[in-house]
Amino acid sequence: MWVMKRFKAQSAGNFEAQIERELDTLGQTPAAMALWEDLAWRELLVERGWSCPSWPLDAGGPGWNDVQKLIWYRLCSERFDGFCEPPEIREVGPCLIRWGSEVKKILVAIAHLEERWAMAVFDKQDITTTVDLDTGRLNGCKMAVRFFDRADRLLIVAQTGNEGYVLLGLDPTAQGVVAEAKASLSGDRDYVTLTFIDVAVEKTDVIARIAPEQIHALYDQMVALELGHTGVLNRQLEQIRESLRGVDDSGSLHRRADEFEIELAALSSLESRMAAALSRGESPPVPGVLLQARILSLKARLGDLLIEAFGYYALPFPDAMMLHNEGSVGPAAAAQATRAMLAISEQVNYANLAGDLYDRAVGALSDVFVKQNNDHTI
Amino acid sequence: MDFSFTDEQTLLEESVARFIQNDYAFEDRQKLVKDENGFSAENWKTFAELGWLGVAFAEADGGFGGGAVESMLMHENFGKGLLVEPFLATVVLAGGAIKHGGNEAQKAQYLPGIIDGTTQAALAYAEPQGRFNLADLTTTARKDGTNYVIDGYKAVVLNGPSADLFVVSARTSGDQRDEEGVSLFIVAADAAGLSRRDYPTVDGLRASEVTLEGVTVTEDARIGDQDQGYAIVEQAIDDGILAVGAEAVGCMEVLYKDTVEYCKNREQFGQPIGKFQVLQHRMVDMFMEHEQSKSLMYMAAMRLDEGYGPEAQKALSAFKVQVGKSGRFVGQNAVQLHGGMGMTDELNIGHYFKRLTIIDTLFGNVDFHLKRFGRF
Repeated sequence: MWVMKRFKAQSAGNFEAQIERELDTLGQTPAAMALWEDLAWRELLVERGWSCPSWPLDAGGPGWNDVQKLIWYRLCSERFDGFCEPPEIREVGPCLIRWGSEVKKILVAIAHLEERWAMAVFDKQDITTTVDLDTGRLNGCKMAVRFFDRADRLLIVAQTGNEGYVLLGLDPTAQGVVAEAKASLSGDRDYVTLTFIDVAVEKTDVIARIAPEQIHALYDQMVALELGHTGVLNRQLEQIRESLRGVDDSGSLHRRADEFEIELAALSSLESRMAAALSRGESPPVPGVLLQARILSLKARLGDLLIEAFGYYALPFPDAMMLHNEGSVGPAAAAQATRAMLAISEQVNYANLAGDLYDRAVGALSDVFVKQNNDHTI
Repeated sequence: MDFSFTDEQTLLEESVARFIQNDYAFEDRQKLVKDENGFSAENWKTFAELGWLGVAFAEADGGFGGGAVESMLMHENFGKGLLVEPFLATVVLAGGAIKHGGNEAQKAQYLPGIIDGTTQAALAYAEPQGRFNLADLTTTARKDGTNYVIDGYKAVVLNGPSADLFVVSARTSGDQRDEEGVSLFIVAADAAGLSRRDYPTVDGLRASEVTLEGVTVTEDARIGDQDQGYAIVEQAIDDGILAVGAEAVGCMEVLYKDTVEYCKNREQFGQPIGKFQVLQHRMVDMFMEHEQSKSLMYMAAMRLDEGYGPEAQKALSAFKVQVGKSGRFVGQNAVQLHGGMGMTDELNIGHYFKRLTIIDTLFGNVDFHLKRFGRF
């Protein structure tokens, strides 16, 4: 995309050139998801010290600053369909690094893909999953757990009564853990609901204790913006433009794609400003959660555009088996359009599970609205 | 990805910001708007003394060799103060056309006067039927020996009433909308056959309708090659897009901050209205529209400084689309959140809103630039 190329030219030249050269030698792989599981690919990253790009040096990461991280994620998202690192590295690791104690062994296991983790952190209502550390019993329910099938361990947030909360690392096959895959909007079964019925918990399963006043900070971190999302969105917009090629609509869809590209360019540029500010040790120009809310809103509109491009052929919704056996109904791209839009809708929903992003953004800017002399602009 | 400025750029920005903050109060600006000239000759002299009028020009021409980033920094602050002095018309547009297309003799003749503040200028490029198409010209320049005879009509010429010279676009060959065949001429304001109808604009500036009837100029008055003036006027207008876009960003910052401040103090139902969540969401959106516009402003300025061409033009169109939409959103909401006060002439809010509305129209509105963006 034209905007990204330009900012690349503005960025830390040597670092970027090195990463780009190395990625070129690693070749092109179409799906980031497949890369997660590709041990040879992981080995290549480990050799270069890039297996955990967002982790600090003392936790086993490369210790990159935010500009370097942004460059990495953008370059990756140009080549792959998303971020080429598994959830335990992208999501679980940073939580353990910030909140955990004596987690070095776990981090090493995660970094070498010896342990795969999934996050079970969202309850149906507040945090009602409880653990009694005296009796060692866990009870409750977690919803929207992703990547459960591949997980060796679960990261669970549970309440401990008056003491506050704990982060637990739990074996997903433990007795009393009941998993139910729920068909989601897009027809996939990526989200699992977990019920815990008197699951035995050892003291050694406790990774961190979280004071009641810190629980919001924990969830803030979970939903916080990881730099690089605009790169993924750029890639998606390119794919949508590809789908629009040949669609006759007198230009109105292309025009909307142009509008989205401009909005994305603004967000991309803003993301670059944020990375630059963070790398200098300054406050970012906007709270990350607000940029994320905007990105998700744009993402949802991109999904709508995808559906509109195919008119009536957005309606067929054959199951995966039928698609496999009989091929798509209508244009091949149309068969994926509705699913893609619904999957995007799921992603937006997931990002809001810990509380509406806009409310969080308002919270982050509350000083601006109700107190004096706090300037969030740069 | 380094968005920090050089020491010189920082000094320049601080100098402009200080002037706007200390010497350009809203009440004083309103007096200038009502004045016959529409701006302060004293301020103009100060700009010249501070070197601002020469920032955009090459050192060889007596300027300081500044680029797009310098222009951006200055105009963002001009926007915060709703500057009425004709910097855009004289320096960016008319001065820009001479800078981009003029020969050494023309630069030596005209730029020193612009830089030292003794010459006021205007770019007469728009015509009633042309809307935003710079090539749509019915004004003609007919060769007559070594002279040209210009006949036609120019619309909404910014700073027309004060201009000592006009840079006029006219057709020297081709059909009405051909880009090829456009030529530019420098015409003295007191040239025989040139007449003006002067008027104020919605945002408090001054403009003129200019009629040219058998205006004779020599070949030396032509900027650039004959028939090749389109590229020159397009580049000057593109400089103008960055300038007014940056102004819009400055306007939006004031509107957003003033609105937040107002909502902190205005009480309803026993509490400041800034505590109402619905209003907070609207202010968050205003904040984001401003930040997104600012981000594209940086991008456009950097692209322009890297070299003028399709990539820079695309970035400028993206920026213009963004400020057009954001300006409308921020302006409308600032007026609404100020309630009844937002509609009054005595409050600054409405004046910023007017300026933002005009900026959307200047040099092509959202629709126009969305189409141009799609062409690259």
